[in-house]
Amino acid sequence: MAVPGAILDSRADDPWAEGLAEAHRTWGPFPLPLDRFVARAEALLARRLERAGTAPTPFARAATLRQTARADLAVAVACEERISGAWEVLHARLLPRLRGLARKRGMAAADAETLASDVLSELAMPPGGASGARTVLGTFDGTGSLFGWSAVILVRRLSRLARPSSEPPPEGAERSDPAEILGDAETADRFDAALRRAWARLAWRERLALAYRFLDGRPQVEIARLLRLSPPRVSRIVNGAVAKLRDGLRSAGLEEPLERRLRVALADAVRKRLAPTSASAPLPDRPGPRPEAREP
Amino acid sequence: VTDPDEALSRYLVRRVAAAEGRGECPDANLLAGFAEGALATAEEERVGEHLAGCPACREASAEAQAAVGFEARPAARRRPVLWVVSAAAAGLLLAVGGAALLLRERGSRPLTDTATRLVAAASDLARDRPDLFGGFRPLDPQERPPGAGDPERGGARLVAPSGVVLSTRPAFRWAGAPGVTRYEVSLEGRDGTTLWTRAAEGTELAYPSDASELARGTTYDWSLAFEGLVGGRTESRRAFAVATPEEARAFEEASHAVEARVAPDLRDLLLAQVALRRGLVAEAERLARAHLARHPSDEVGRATLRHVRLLQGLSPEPPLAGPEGR
Repeated sequence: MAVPGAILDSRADDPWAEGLAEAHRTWGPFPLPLDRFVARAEALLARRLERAGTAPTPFARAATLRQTARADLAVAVACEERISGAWEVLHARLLPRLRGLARKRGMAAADAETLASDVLSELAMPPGGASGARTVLGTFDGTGSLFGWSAVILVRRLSRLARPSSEPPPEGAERSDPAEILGDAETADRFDAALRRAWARLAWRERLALAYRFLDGRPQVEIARLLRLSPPRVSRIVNGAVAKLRDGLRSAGLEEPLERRLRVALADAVRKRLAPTSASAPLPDRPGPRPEAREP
Repeated sequence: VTDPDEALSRYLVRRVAAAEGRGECPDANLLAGFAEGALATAEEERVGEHLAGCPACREASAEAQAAVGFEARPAARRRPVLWVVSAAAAGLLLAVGGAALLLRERGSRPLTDTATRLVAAASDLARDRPDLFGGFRPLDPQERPPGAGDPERGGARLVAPSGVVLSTRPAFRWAGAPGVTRYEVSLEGRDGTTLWTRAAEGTELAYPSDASELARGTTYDWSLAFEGLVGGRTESRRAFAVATPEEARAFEEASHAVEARVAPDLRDLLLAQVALRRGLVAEAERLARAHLARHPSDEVGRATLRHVRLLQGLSPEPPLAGPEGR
């Protein structure tokens, strides 16, 4: 399709013009004047540098500009600037992809259609906060792709629908039974303090790998994809990080016997879960002091 | 979960994660940027920290990554690719004498200026070899070495070795004091033991052939003494470290990786900056000069050499070649 100005916009030395031309090629035509795009895009770029705590040197600007999804940003700016036909272009390309994403997450076709439409409507609403944008879409700054950004909004919307209350997720269940597994409250406190210290010393990638692995239960291959690392490297990171946590506990004086007690208690818990009818009966191979009830 | 190790690990992680504060959730821009590997290092770290403690953001970020396709978009945005331009555009370009085949980055400006190309090459290297280039950040032309003040006034300026050296038999080089031609160079261990002393004329001394080579991973002091023209002995000192075997091997591997993956006209410059970031001042100087010998007007190359000179305690400007310790 011929796009007026698209060829002339592809000036080799102007990345914004190149982004606009790319938007016409990949999204479709919309008559956004280059100067309006540049003004808005430069303001967003400056805000990104500020957010990153980076001085706006030419070098930092070049690096950030290079990582900007400029074509997607052009579409978003066109919508924000109420350029005729821009919302239609966005709608035509984004709706099927959002619908597909909702379907992939197990929604029925009709529900997926409704959700995707709702998300697109949300993009046209005024945003909260002091962004200075007219619409939620106007807050898109090209850090990632427009579809990735919309996917985040869709998933967050789904999470809100699935968990209407502000209850914390169930991952902290173990937190509520320290005395049962660790014995006395003082030991539990010492244990938690040592664990928090060891956790704080881990690198963010180690923490995230552990969270993906043990909180979300994701397989190694998927963690590798999420962290952009090789699966063997993920394995090394996870094993190393767990070893550091355990070393942290040992160096805090929480020695092997406690770890053994923990292992046994956890194994008990699993067996109880597998055999709920016998959950209250003590297990025969459990070491340590026997309950009073076993006295003759 | 039946494996005891697995159960214990899971228990530890769940217990500590439940006690962690989450802070404010990053906005959709940051999460999408994180998912697509498009954030600056510091931002990536901040978001990664948050994700470790926030299941909702982990899920949203993972979905965003799956949605855009991990390989497709980020790779296309980050890697230079060959683009065959459309027939209409090609016709126009040919009409104005342009080429029909352009080497450019998708959806962005052609990779022409050195600074942009350096950023691109560094980003590609960091992705392909995070073990070697994960923390590498190209030099910003406005950046000054930490602690770099005015060059030492008076006396002689000890140029090399400084920082970390790769060689176990490094050459010694200094900017001489006016009118002085005879110097005394000494090498000491960190405990103050003098390992050797040699007389030298001019401003250079090769590592003495009869002296033992330096130990890797060890720090030394070298000193330069001379009699001033108006009398009185002057002595200057400088510390340096010899790269550990691991550091030396890592730099060698980095050199091979740069050789294999970076455009020829950019290799010396990029490697000079890699050396700078690792404290390998002499290597950085050698490579920056090699780059400037071929591209004498390149501003990034000049900025790199200025940075090296500041680290060496010299004034940032002059010379590309000259009497100053060359």
